[in-house]
Amino acid sequence: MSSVESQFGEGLAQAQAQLHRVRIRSAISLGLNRGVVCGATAIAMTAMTALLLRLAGASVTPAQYGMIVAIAAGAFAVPLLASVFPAIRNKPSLEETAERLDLATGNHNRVASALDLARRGSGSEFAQAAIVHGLESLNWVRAQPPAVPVVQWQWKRNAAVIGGAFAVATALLMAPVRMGAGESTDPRQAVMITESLAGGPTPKPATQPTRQPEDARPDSLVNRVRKSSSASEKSTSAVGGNAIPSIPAQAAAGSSSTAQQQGPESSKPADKKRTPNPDENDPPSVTASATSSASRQSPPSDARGTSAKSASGGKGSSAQPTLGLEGDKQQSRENAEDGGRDAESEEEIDADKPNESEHRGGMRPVLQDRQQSPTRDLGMTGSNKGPPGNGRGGPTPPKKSRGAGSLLLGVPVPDFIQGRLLPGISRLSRQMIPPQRQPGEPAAGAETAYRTVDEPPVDRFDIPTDSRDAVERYFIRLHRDPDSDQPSSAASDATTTREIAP
Amino acid sequence: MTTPVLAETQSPPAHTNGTVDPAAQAKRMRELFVSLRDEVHRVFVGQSELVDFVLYSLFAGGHVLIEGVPGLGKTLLVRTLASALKLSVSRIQFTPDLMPADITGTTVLVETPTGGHKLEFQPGPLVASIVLADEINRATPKTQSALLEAMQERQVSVAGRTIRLPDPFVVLATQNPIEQEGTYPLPEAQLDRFIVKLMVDYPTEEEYHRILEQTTGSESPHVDAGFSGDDVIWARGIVRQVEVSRQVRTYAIRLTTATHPTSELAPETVRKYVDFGAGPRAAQALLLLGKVKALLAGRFAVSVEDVRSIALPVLRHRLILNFAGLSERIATDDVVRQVIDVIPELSKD
Repeated sequence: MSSVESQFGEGLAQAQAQLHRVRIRSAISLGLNRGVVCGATAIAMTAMTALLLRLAGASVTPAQYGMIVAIAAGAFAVPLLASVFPAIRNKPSLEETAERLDLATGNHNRVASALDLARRGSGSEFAQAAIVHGLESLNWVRAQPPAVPVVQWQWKRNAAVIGGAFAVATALLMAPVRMGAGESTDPRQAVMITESLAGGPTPKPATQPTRQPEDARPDSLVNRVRKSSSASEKSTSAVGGNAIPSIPAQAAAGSSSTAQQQGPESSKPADKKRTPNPDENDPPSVTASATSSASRQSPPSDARGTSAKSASGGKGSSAQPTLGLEGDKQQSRENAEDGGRDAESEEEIDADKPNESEHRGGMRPVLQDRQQSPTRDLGMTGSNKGPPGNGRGGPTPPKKSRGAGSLLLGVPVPDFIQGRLLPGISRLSRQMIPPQRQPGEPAAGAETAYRTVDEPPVDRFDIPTDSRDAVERYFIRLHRDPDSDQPSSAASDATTTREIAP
Repeated sequence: MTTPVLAETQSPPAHTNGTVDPAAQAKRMRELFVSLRDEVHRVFVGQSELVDFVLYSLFAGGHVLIEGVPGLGKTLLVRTLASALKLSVSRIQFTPDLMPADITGTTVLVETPTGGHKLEFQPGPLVASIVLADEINRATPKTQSALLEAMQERQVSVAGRTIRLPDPFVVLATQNPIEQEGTYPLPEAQLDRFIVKLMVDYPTEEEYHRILEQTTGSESPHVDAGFSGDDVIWARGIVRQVEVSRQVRTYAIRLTTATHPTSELAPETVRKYVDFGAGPRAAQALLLLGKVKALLAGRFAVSVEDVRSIALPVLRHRLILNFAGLSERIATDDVVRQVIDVIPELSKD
């Protein structure tokens, strides 16, 4: 070690020792904090174990309690030692001490930089100056405590954790004692208490059978169907046997659907011989599905009347003298509901019906939607609403979109903009202004350029007056039809003409 | 008027044994800096931090990108600085139709005294010591790329010849953040070549008073060119001698690497919003500017505080935000501040 390094070592020794002490103290605090948590967890877990042992019938001896305490102590000590031992063993280095000292004193890393430069052996003038600077600054910062994060002993939190753990352990250890004292009680009573706490049926004597007969169930739809069928029989006999018992069948169908929801046992009583229901006059307490079905079929107030009404208000029942106004309303309501349900079911059927194209063994284009493909004409003819392009020219609508815009699904991007070209803020105004004479001098004519070069006179061809007739005759004969007569005369005239031609 | 330090800085101070005294050099450097800053402030009012960073960059040997809304004196600052230095100055007004040959120079046909013709290279405005690239983002990327070689290698290659640019060579570029219509954002390769990106803010009320007094009176201030390129070259040499400890170098490296989204040191903001972080040029810039700051503070080694204080202008233009960052309008300044907050100062942490 060089003399400069030894100087730094001496100067930083105090801060190094102080840093070491702070570290150990922080490690102890950290170990205690962690140990408390671990010990509390161990206490709670061992108490839980003791509780389970008691429930299982095993007895916990004091020696085992001592073992629990030992486990808790071990759980407390292990983190503590794991934190403290490394802190004791690892002494902070000089670099770290210098850095923390600079950090604590706002020294702009003078000491740490100087120590680093001294260890590197940098011989530049600036390095030497920096080392001197660092040693000078070390003299006045050496007494300062280095910056180190100190872990505090969180006594409030630890006390709460320990107290909570002991409370949990006490509760768990006390609970088996109570249950052990009550071991002589009837277990069925405990079950009953549990049921009552859970909001179940009221407790009954153990000798009473808990399962009720099927017919004794509260006003199920099966019973109501049975009632309605008996009512329809009554009404049929009252009317005179003219009415068709379709409504009970419908009600039975509705109840059978409900019975399907309730299970196979619910549909059985319709065919079986039943015992009379002793609780028939009790208010109905049905399940939710039964209630909803029953509300469609009949008002819940009067089961007999309802069944009678529903027996006379079904589909296809043309005349029911026993129907009143209420019965008509109820019937129309039911018909409307049935109609809505039918429409929905038809839609479902249509939706479920496979596509026609798939019946033919494979994917085929739907011919109903067949249209001619749009042309690729990208001109300005987009506003013409003509037929799709057929490749024979003419104005056609353009493609729906083109370019990157066509890649955006569901976003219509027109590839043309209707309107005028280059629209903008402009205004056209037209005024009718009659022409008016304006005062002013008449325009002076400019001199035309005179000819400088003599031009030859135009050599015109003028036929003399006395020869015009001969020339006329000549051309008439010249263009005469060759099949006509007088060829000789034409030739003689031509000769004549040739003679007189200039 | 401030006394020019040109004559004094021609001969660096020396020990009695012939070696250079770092303390005296640091003091001379400080005097040069303060004199130049005062000279600039005679014309350019306020914005002391902006002026300081421009001078830091000048002494560190880097190019400066200045961004601000129109009318805040960006061009005035650059012109004033150029006037204060006895250096060749050229100004290039970047426009969309500017071509690379317009700034680097081209070969023209000239007539010889004997009546013949010959091809002669006509250097462009880039061949100067201080180049004011006004509204640099208005030129096309082709023209912007012509600056790359000049800014990095200090030379231009044109018409089969390589021309060495004068020393010192500084590009002071300005750009306007609001008039983005018809502009071409600088490519990342060129942004990386600017040592800092400085933002010009509006002046304070007191600065407004001084601006109005100076600019609306009968007399307009002028700058005395009392400094030369040798002063700048000397200062750059001194700056390079400042030492950097391993702890500070580690801090600069961590600052740089923490801007990468894949880095372990990167904070959550960087992982979420940054696509690419800063590169080695950023670490170089951190240390060079840190050396300037340490020297001006009278220290001979860079501290972590020096690096931290210049991290924002060094890193802000080197982060490339991803789509999420751009869509949520995340500012790179906020990202850099988070990086600075999370990087520990101690080398062992």
